[in-house]
Amino acid sequence: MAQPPTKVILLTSDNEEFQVDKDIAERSVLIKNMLEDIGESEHPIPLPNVTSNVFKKVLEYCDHHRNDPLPSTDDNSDEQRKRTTDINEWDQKFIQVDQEMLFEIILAANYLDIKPLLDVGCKTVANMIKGKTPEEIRKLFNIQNDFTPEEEAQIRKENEWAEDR
Amino acid sequence: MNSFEKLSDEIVLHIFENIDWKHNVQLRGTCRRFRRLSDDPILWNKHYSRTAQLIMTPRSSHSDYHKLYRISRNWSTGRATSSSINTNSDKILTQLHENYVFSTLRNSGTLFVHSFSPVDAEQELSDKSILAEFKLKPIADISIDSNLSYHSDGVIRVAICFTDKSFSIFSFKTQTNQLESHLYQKKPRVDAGFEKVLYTSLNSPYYITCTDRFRLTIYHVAIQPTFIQSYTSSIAYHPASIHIDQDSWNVVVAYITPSFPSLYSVAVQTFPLRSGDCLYTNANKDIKSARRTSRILDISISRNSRWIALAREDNVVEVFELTECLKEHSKLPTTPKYLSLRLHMTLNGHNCAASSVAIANDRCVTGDVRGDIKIWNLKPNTNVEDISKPFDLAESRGITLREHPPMPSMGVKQIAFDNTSVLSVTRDFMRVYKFDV
Repeated sequence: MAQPPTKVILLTSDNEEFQVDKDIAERSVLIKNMLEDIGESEHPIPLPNVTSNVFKKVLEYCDHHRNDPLPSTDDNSDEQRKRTTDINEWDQKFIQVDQEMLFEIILAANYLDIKPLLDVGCKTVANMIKGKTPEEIRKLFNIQNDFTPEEEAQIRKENEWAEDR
Repeated sequence: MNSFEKLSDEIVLHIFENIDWKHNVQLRGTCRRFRRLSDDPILWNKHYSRTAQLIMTPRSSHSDYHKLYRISRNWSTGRATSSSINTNSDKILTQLHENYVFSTLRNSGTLFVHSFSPVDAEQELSDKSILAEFKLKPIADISIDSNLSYHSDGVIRVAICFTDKSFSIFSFKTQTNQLESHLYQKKPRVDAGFEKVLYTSLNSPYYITCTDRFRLTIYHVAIQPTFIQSYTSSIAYHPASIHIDQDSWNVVVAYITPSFPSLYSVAVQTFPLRSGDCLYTNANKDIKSARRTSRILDISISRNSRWIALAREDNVVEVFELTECLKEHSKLPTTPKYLSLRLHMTLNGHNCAASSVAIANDRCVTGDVRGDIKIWNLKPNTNVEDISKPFDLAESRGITLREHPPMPSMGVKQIAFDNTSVLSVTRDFMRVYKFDV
């Protein structure tokens, strides 16, 4: 007889409570470790670094990937993970969010220790950067140009080696 | 606050990992933080392990992968200026001529002339064997004239290039042990900046110097030194060997180019000199190369420019045959030539890294890092068995008068070869071995 899935209660920084299936919540290594540490508990687990709107998005990811094999921690799989540079179709759709949300997801994935989601986020940002000039990158991410003209000239010279001609 | 400011360096590096190395370099121009993070050594190590099929240098945590990338990329695009990763400054410089050895330490100002007995099978060159000692300016390289017709009886012509890039041609008189300077280039033609002269070759009437950045400068030195031409080879690296061929009046340069991203190549290039007058023709752009996966520790070109030998870190010695062929069906008024570099022989026999090599007409002498010296016969008709069993001339272990120095110093740093004598230079000893051809 199938057991009803165990629920855990999670509390985001804006005091919203989430009742989540344990196996979905355990996609986060942070939550998994916390659950192991505190055992069965009625108290909600606080997640002070995540807001509810971001957490909803993260849960959406975890829900879709609830049956994926858990990433193992040994170095070998780490290499494997890095070698696959493509993002699968569902993830691509999932990550089509505005820039602010994208960076929030990356931060949340990092905090909650969800490696596959962190990868998806980082690869998406990398794809945004690829092929753009420094000026375009600055514009895209609102980065201040903090170089002096001398430094800029110096960097151009330093970078010459990598240019195609 | 921009989006990136929220991310830790660790996460930004994680993003950069997903960008190929070329774009990664471009990121340096975005802002200071990106510049700092783009230069991260661990990031470059990851780029390197992703692109490199073979390892250029032994992998170690100290390797500067960013630098490796830059260097090999520059090689592959022909824009390299050789960096001084490999040049050791305290090199012992020696030249062997008949029963005389000229020696000095690079950057020192003292030239020693030793003589040795033409009959003793093995002798160590010590203080006792010093015939004469001359105090000069700091020396960059010495080169005995390979054109034998310029040496008269009892006179040895030797060119000395100084660290200020001036050079003199001296005559050493064996009767009186006097050194006479008779040609002197006062003003160094190459700008005396940070480049250092590393290799020189005198084959009268031509003299050539080569700096650590592979600026080759050719002089005509018959009466007054006259500057002829300067070349830079942007794809060359150390070790290298230069030689002036007397029959064709070609300058032959053999050098290493670590090709992108991680193989080593040996490349040979010739620069023709026109004999008789002081003109030159354009450098032969035809560069021949052979790819190798092991580090090459020494290169030698034979006097007739036919053989090029490589001493490799993986114990193997390789001999290449260099030939010039005429290009057929050419519409140019002069028939252009092209070079052909063919592997002639692979010599297996050293039990550790071959560190030095010298090649003469049909013999090759090699020394390894443990001090073993081997002489190889390169005659094409000799059967393979003879070649695979090289004549072990001597092992410098066990026949020293001094206390055994620790292993690294036993390594043969330099080897010279002159028909019946072999000169071997280790850190602490110079020895001459005689053998019958």
